[in-house]
Amino acid sequence: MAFIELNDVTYTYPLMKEAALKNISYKFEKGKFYGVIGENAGGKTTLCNLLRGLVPHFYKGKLKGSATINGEDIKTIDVDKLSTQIGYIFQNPFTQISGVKKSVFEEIAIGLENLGVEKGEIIERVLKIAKLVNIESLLQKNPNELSGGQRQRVAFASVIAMDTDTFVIDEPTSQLDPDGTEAIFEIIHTLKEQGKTIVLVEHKVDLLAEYADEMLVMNKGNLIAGGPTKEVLSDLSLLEKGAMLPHTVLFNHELKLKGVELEHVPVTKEDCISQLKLRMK
Amino acid sequence: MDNITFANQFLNPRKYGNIILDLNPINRLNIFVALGISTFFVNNYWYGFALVLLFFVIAAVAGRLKRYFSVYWKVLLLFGLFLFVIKAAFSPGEHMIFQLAGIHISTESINSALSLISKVLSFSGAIVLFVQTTEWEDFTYALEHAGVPHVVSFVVLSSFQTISDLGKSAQVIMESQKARGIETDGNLVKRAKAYIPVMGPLVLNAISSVEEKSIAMDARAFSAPVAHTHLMELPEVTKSEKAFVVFIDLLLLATIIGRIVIWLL
Amino acid sequence: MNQILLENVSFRYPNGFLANENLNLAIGQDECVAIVGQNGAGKTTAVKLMNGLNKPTEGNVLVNGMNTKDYTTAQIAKYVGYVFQNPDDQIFNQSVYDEIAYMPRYYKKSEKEIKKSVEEAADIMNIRVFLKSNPFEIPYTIRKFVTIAAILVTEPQYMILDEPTAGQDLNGTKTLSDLLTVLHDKNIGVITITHDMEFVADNFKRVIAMAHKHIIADGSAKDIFSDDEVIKESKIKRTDMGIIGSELGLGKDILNARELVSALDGKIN
Repeated sequence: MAFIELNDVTYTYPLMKEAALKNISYKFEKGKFYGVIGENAGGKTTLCNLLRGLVPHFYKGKLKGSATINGEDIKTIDVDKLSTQIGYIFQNPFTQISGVKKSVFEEIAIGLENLGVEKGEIIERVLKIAKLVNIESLLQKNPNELSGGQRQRVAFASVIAMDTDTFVIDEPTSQLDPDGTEAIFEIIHTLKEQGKTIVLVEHKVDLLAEYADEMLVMNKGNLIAGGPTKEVLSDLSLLEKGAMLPHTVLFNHELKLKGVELEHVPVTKEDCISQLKLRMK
Repeated sequence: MDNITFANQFLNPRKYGNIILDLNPINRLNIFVALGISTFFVNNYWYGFALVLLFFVIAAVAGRLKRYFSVYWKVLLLFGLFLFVIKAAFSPGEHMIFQLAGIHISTESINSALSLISKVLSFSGAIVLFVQTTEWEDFTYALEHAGVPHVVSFVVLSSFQTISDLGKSAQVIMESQKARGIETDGNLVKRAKAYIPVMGPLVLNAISSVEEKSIAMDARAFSAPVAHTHLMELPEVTKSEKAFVVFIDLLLLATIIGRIVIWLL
Repeated sequence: MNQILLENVSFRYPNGFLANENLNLAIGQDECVAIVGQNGAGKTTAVKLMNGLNKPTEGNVLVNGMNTKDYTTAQIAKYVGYVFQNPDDQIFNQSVYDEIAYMPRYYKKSEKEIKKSVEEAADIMNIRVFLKSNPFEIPYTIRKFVTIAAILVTEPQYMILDEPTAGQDLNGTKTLSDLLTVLHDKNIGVITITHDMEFVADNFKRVIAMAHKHIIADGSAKDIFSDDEVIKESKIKRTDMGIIGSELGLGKDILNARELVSALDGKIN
């Protein structure tokens, strides 16, 4: 059985007329990396909230259809326990910092304290994560005095440190420079290699194309495409539905107009380069 | 300091190396408040003023004199001077010193004014002193240690943090409103006009961040069904500290009882 | 000539932290400039010097010849509009319309004029459908557009956009790119901070790269993206098409798909 299974899920926030998720069905397997793309306000964040049990436990509203995590019905699941199983990094870097700690070190430790980790181990894990996320130089700084990009990395580290089996991550790189963005993607990739399940919402589809196993495309609350990354991202018609596609796919389209047809649609740079190399005189 | 040294600091309970600061925050609160309350039961304004002086001494010993005074002078000015003038000028009395229009200052009115402000000043001094000698996270740690639920202590901590952050947010918002052309400096009318554009986002941000913050804390397994640990701990309370607190409380009790006895006789 | 001029400008925060060192720069009113560089390079501090929010601790900043030291930020704001990174630091009105109309009302324009300019700005930003909404019930990225519209209506001569592309989707990015065209047509100079390299390559003739408190390069998008040293130091990246082009040995200055296709012309079978 799939790890997370959504069956015809429709969800409406309280006081709203239109559903934020409409008839969504999808199966998430353990250990896979899922990318979620699509236009803003299309339901990406609501999907994250659902996978994390915030819908319908924190945001009330109406939930129809069936959603199960590890076989447990999401409507009756113990959300406190769920928080120890699914790590959630959400969008806004400014509100993700607790605001009550004097150093980034202590900020990252919060989750570990709440999980009841022993002090010595907390220290070890915080140092390790700081190195991984490359924020060692921030450890002694006051989290409330960091820039948006720095906060985003601290929030990311704080949740990664908790070492849950699954991570739901909503736009973790919106404030980061290209270098920092790639670093985050590499870390997420490492997590996947360690067997973690990842659900990542991102606009940077070029990077998602390199790492994600499957892609989900949201539009106005509907799941308009879902499946293996290559397949989904090769579909040019998604552009009309507000989904960004890899630049290599757009390039392939331009090339076709010139009468050059590649073997298959390249969704990553590597793929594109190797196909072109074969064809170049 | 390198990160390892920084991290290893957490291995030992936090010590400030100062007799006042190293009191357990709850005990410190207890002592200061007991002193502050006692002034209401001692019928001599010199006692209140002596306390005011004592608090300055304590602040100095704690190395927080500057911080203490930076807040306390406002109390002195607002409550001290203002209340004194009002009370002295308008309280009834027989031995008139000065009289003009509705103002009549008498020995009695001055006495009652001194008595009032000695109480107000010493009590507020106790509170200000506690605030200025205590890190909120130490206080909430102590609360949790004493059995107060995690949620309550976090809300307390978070509220105080929000209040202290307001100044910083106001600064950013002020900049953003200036940048769109709203004058925030200059005469009173200009400042008043800028009030809404600054207060609006400030309040709205504070409200909306509450919801997101609770999600953020949930993401950190805030209500995980396990016993929490603490990275930062405070030292165990010593026997002599316990005894001292009990002693102060007994003194307060004795003062109150004494007062009631005098009143009954 | 109308321009923003930075002459040997350094900026040190009151706490002693040096954020910008010896910046020299002239940006004309007819220009559209992107500022790129790693987090913490001093980009935001630098643009805050251009509208007087930060006054240089050394050197001078001149806006159309006016030294920012002699004017309040609000006075400079009539010439240089600045859209903050976080829209929530700015919005306070109950409706999107009122939010955008706030400055024209502040400048005591007639309601008729105001309505016209609010609607025009809303159309540019594609937010007309939200005019009656409460700003706090619309998505964050749309709120950002509301704050851009709120500056547009003040009709500045220059506009500074601080990371407008963050979190934007395909249509949002398209709206921004249309905005740049509109601003150019209105003869409004633009300075944009962004981390989106494709956006830079597609929309800006002039790119300034910053690193470690300094301007390390100032030139055309092609100049910047073909310089390996600059790319490394400012922690930016070539566009994907640029990376593919240089991997294939087609040159380092390819920016987009069209250029890659024409570079391949005749070299591919």
